[in-house]
Amino acid sequence: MENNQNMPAKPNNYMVLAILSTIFCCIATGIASIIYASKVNECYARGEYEEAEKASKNAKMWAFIGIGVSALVWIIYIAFFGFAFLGALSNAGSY
Amino acid sequence: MRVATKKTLLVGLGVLSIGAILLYFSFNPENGLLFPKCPIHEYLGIYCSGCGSQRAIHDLLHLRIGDAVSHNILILPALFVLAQHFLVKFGILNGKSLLNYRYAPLVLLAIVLLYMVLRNLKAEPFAYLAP
Repeated sequence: MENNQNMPAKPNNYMVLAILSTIFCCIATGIASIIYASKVNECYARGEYEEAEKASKNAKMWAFIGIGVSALVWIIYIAFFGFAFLGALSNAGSY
Repeated sequence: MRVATKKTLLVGLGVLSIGAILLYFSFNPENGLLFPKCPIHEYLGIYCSGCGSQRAIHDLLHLRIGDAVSHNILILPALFVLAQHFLVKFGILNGKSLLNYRYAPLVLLAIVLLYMVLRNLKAEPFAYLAP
């Protein structure tokens, strides 16, 4: 995973996570991820490897903020609506 | 990352994914009790590119492709692109991952923003894009 900074291997631009945030979740952090992903590619293409590396770190940060916020919303939601959840569980009972 | 950490992460991800699949298979997000609503739609009143994706996943797991597409048209292409990416990454498929192209992020950005604008239009052909 860890690349040597001097080696011109393209840093990860976390496009998989960007797609997950924008299409499977709620866009806000996904847009930031995509913009940094694009910056990784552009800097890399221009040979600015350190800049690309920085953009990669930002893309990663925004992707994980997205995952963290989603997980948090889920947990709060389940905590708030736990009773409704249990009700749904007992009503569904078909698998 | 150490190999052991990576393995633990992968196993954790696997367990989480199976749990999520069971959850989305068993319950219809349409009924609204269990699943969080899209915060963008709740607070801003507009549909974002991810709105309808929970319902679409439920529909897909029940093989109702038409319903899935009507809730979120981008889910299918997104799954296709992700599948292609991982097949190439793990050496099952030859070629280059679509996500590794230089302009992939910009294309994704354009699609997502265009989709978001179009699905909020009330006019006839676009109304279908709303979740």
